Amino acid sequence: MFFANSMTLRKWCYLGLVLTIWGFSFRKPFDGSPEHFPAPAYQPEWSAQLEAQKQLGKVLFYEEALSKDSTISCASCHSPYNAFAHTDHDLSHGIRDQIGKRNAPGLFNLAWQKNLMWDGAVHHLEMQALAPLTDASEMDNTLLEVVNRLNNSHLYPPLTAAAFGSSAITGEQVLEALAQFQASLVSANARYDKVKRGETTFSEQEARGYQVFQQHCNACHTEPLFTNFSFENNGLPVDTTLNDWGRYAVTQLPEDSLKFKVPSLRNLRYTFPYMHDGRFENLREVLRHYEKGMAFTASLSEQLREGVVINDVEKSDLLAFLLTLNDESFVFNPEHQYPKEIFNQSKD
Amino acid sequence: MVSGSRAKEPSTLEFEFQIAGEPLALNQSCYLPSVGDSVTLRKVALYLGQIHWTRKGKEIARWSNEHLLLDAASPESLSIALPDHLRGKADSMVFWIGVDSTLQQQGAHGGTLDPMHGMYWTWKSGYIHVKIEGSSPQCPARKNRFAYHLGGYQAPHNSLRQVKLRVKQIGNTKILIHLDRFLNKEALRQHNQVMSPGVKATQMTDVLTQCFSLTP
Repeated sequence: MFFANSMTLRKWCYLGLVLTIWGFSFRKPFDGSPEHFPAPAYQPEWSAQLEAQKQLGKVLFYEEALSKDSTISCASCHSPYNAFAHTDHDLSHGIRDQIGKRNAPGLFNLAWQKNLMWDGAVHHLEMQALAPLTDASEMDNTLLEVVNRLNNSHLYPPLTAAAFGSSAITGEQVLEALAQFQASLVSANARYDKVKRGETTFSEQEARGYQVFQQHCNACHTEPLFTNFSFENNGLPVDTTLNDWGRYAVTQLPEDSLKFKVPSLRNLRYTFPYMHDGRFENLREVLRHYEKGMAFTASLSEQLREGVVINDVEKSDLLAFLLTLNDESFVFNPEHQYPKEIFNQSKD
Repeated sequence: MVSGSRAKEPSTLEFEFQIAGEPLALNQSCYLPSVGDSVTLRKVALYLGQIHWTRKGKEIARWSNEHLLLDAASPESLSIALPDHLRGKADSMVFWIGVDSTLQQQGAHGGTLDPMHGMYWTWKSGYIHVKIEGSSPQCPARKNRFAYHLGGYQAPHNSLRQVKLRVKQIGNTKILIHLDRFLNKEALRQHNQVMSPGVKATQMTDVLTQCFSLTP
């Protein structure tokens, strides 16, 4: 019989209490949700294997066997050194040097996004990887083929066993692991964040730029993630070589024509060129667009109907403030980089 | 506890795709009176969910959270042993064509709902409830091909549809799916590519609900 006397029962109660507290102390999502951030949209169920799942996801992120001809990985277009964007490429290229139709966005703070992709086509972080994996101009593969390749490799069965308990990986687990690695890419240590945490203060120019930002940009590029995740038409005339109507393709609603997801303004130093088709090389061009380049079409954002009028001093101040959103410690975080020790080991 | 010496036979559910009164053979041309020409089917797969049984209008048993993926290319997907607790008399078997909308709003699922089965849209998240692909000389599209990828779980184009069949008991049932009721000349001529949620997808799923029958 259990609990034969009250002493044993009390011991079990204490043990239970200690385990409960210990369990809760590990319930923080991933690297911890920063204090000045809202609650994330994506929070996987806590499990003791979460770290191993994240690790598997990282290896998969750098795995070229995900693409049909094993030439590109996720990191080919989402480089850690560019805040997981594709610097210097307006549009990214998939296998066989095919050019896609959109700019590869930086990957950070994805756990706060309710919809993924420029047009919000994907409604859940775990389902996102399917899109580039199967797109004919990106990886042109199938999830079934990926699962078969991984299960026939030497590298993945032990990683899968550590992450999910059984060495045979499923499509569901590939997607979950990738999501958990990507959700762990939290960028919250820029100068702006240090100011918010009271560790430092803005310079005078940065402080003035912050005011310009709050007056003209914050409605859509809302702090602290610097996007409100809505879909807006920011006045970019359609590129007739691409004819990309954005969100309209997903909803088929005329009012969604030319709307794209508001991108975060974090890490702009690393993620140029800008906009969904990478049409602007630098931030001066972006400001010039808002000043005198906008097409006033029916679906133009309410926030932009009056135009954006700021003088040259305000522009320089704003750019100084935007520099405080670059998170160098995120970009050079070795935790996020190519896991060469694992790939090298598999070649031995 | 086993009460008798005789082990219980497993209770089964069987499905058979039929075309023109015969079992479907994929990749083989077959004359269809409803089309007035030959048709070759290359892919036939569909999800069934919320499978339950009723008696005198009341639900008496449910196969909880199981979605069947019936795939004409996979005989094992068409013959299912039911769990032991699903036995007894019933008046009706009820199921939905498609994947439960609550599950669709969540992340990755496993088993028959694993996206590796290729029944998931990436340009607009959601399961493809039904895939029927093939060709016919009556189809004016490229290489005479038609493709129906039916799905959609959000209003106003929710294509989840209920089917109710009269049965005598839970399980030990063979259900025929008459594809010739779905394929007709007008559809192949005018709506030969339906691959997104919308009015056409819901209308075609409505037609599909009329394609199920029990073996006599």
